[in-house]
Amino acid sequence: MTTKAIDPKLIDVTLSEHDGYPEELARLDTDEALWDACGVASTDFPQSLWIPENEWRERADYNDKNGLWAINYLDRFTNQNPTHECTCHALRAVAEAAWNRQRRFAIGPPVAGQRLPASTAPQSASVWFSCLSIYAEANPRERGGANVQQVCRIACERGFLPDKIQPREYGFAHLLQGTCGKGGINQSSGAWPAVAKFPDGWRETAKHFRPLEVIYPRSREQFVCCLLHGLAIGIGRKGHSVPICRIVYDGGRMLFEYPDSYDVIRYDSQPYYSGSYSILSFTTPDDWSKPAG
Amino acid sequence: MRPLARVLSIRSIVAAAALTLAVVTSADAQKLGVARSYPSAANLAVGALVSDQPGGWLVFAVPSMLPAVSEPINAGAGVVWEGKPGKYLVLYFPPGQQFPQPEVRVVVLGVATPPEEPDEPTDPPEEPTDKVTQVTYVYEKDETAVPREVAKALGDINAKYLGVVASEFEDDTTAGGGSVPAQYRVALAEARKAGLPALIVQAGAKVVKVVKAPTTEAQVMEALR
Repeated sequence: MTTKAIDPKLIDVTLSEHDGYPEELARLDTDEALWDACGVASTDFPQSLWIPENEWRERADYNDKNGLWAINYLDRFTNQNPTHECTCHALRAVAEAAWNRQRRFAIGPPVAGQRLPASTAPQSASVWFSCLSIYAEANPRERGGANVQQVCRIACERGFLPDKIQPREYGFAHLLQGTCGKGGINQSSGAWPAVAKFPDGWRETAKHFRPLEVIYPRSREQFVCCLLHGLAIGIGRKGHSVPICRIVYDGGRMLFEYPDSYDVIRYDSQPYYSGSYSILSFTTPDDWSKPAG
Repeated sequence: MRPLARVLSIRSIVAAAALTLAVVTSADAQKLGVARSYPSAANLAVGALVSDQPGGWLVFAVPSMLPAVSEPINAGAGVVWEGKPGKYLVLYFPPGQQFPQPEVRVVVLGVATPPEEPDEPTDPPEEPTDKVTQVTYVYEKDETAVPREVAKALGDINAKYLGVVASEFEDDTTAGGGSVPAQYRVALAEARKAGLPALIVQAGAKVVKVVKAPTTEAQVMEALR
């Protein structure tokens, strides 16, 4: 069974101050606002994803055994410390999981400080997105954060730029530093990039990395069903935005696991489905070995 | 995958503490995960370097400094390249560096020569056939989700059979330019003809099998045979 003892210190962690999702911005992330922000990408929760509650635990066990969680389609942590980029770090995880899930090559789960061998395997099409390529537009003032609707809208409209660090050499024409924060072995760190200073012609590369269909879990049941299907869910709560990627059972208790943008795995005991989103489909390349053509 | 053709001679190497130069043999290459066979032409030479941990690799011909045809091997802890006999500059970027400081090696490659000893016997190729290149589960999200056993089988194929792209494709998905991704055009057309969902098995652009609405791992694996 999907059961393990979780360190209580990792459950329901509340940061001492917001790191990019302040209350005044969070208040604006209503279901309606998110739906409008993603425009034509907004999609109703498909009934085909529905799994009856009495099958959840067995399904979770199957996912554990066969590596079918969203976390299995992620091959890196990012580290935003000490910036206010959290909504974009959560979004990049949801997006990368959607991209790799479509390819169906399991490359995770990520290990902090490590480049995973699967990331560089010939079958891998793993692309690492720049969090800053979204955040620089969402909040040109750099500090203060952004809300979920802002970053989702930008991603759906014009897409991500790839990070300057990639697991494989794809020959991208346009790249951008991943974060102004700490970054790491799998994420580049650099100076604040005003959108006007993005590399010339950057939209030509970004258009290849856009969410096509976004859904919004609006109940505990829909939230769990998305996760059981291997979809990551971006959420914002308590001053911080994170990507929920797996369900684990701590005894009889269901916990929602996320790779936090501080090189650590943490857990929520509640499904925060208000203001949450998941990427159901993502642009797909003409050739997985040439993600931007 | 075709077995690697032959052992290649490398006239001189510059070895270093962190790097070791490996002669590429058929058996070695299989183990190190090359995506194709080397050399691609008889007049080309092949080089390979491996390190003790995955990192970034760049290979340039000297003195032109043009990038050589290369690919990572050994799960990123190595590189293989081919080109005309001569000098090559290899840059290796170890992991964990805040500011990239590559280790630099100059490698001189000789002409490819026939093996002096017979290749070690290799296991039969693992591919289900030498033709299948693509397995695609095509579906419409409002009608069905990808069955979990199908998802598992696609992942297993990708992990086990190098050279076969096993994936799913939702029928509204597009490439960045808004058109159906080139690699899925044949599969989508065939699946629509058969009715969604369907598993389409291809050898290049040729459809070799169509399985309507598979739900089990066995159905997917059987379609490969």
